[in-house]
Amino acid sequence: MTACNQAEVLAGAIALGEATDAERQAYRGHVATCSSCLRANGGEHEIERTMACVGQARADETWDPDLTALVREKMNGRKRLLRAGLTVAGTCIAISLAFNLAMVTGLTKIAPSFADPLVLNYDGQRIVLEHRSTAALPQATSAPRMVVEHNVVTLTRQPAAVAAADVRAPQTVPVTPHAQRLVASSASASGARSQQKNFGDTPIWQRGSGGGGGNTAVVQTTTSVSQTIPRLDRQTESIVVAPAYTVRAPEPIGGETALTPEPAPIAYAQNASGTSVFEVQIDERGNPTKCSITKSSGFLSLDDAVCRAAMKARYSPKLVNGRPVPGSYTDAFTFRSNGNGEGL
Amino acid sequence: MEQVYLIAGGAAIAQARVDTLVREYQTKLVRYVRRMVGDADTALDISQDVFLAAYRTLQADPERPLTAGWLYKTATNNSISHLRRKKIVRMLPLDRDHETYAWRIDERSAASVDLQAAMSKLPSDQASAIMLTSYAGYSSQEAAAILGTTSDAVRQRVCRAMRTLRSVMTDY
Repeated sequence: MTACNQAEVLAGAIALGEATDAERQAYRGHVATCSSCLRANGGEHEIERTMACVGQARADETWDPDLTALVREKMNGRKRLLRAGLTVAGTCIAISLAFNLAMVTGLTKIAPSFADPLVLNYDGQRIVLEHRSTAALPQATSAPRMVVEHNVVTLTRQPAAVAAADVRAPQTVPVTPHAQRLVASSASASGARSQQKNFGDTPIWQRGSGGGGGNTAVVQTTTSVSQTIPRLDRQTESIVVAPAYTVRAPEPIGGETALTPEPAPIAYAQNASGTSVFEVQIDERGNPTKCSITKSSGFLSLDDAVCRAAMKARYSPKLVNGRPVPGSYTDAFTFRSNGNGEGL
Repeated sequence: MEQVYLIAGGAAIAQARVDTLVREYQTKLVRYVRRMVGDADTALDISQDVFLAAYRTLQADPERPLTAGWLYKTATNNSISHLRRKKIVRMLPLDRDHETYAWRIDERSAASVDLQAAMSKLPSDQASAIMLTSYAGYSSQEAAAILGTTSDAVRQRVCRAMRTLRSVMTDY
């Protein structure tokens, strides 16, 4: 510490009234030889006079605010905040505990959104899908889903079989073999006859027998599903679900209505009617590669129109565990004629 | 349940102790802070915060001894923080008489006006040193403990603050 810095400390001690006689003497000795310190700090008496100003200012103070009420209010507010926080935290913990308890005791279950007949059972190391009843399986609907009116010919679109509906729906669980059998039978000729009964008010397929053996052939319409269903590993109609196995069948982009067959004029002239069941092969990129008529309507013009429409559409590819693979899409168009071919 | 009672008891004890601290030190503390920051309203806010900080501390440990030195130390730190912020954001008073209002309390005292004029020119370390010693009445050792420095440093700061005060007084 330099002599001038030391003099500052001594001057501070004098200002505070803490300086001893020796310190005062030392300060006096320094300022006698250091004019800059004397000019800056002043002598002992000047320091004391300056500091008396501070004492005077303190004595003149009259400001005496009362903080008691304000501080107490803030303290109580803080306590309320703490209490509210504890209450909220306690409520959250209670709700969490109650939910866990409910889950553990089985009061609440997050049920899988499977169809009713499929029941999940835990069997030792495996989870099996058990098939209880076929009553709840979707049945073929008799109502036409799309009616295309064109001059004199009415084109009514109708699902061919349950299989077609099942294949279109995105499937997150494998279909049971039982369902597969049901699908196959409903796609058979007898199934087709039962559908005819449902359309009793309209004369459909009257000329269908003349086609390429469509009515007699048993049509496999569940190609995509049957290719991917795991084999039964035991007789109790149960299949192993683990590891997770998901199949999503291909479907036309834009829905079923994206396919709009436009029959050639000759079809109207012929009063053509009937049902064309078709199958389109779709590659892993969703492009149709091949169309085949699996059940003819009996009219080449109608079958041709159906296949042209099917090949023109774009499809979402079949997904197995999220991976696109080649697959097939099956659907049917029913053409209904009103019998008036005069316009053509 | 025992713990709940403990918490409630701790809060009550803390509140009672803070009440005592407020009654005993509020006047000295707000005056000190007002000299530091130069504004009465800010001084009230900072002083409240100091007592609330004391309450928080006592809530955590109701038996902790809280001295006046702790209060002054907290008040000094809060004031210095406020002054630093003020350098960045200059608060513009809405009413033109705000400055007058801040000074109205002491305007009859020339010594008080001089002191505040000098205070406004001082750096915060010198201001706190001279206020804690000459104004709040602490010795240089006590002030050094509050400010976390040595008594020689406090004396040196007091000397330099005194120089500024002297220059202000000779200006008039």
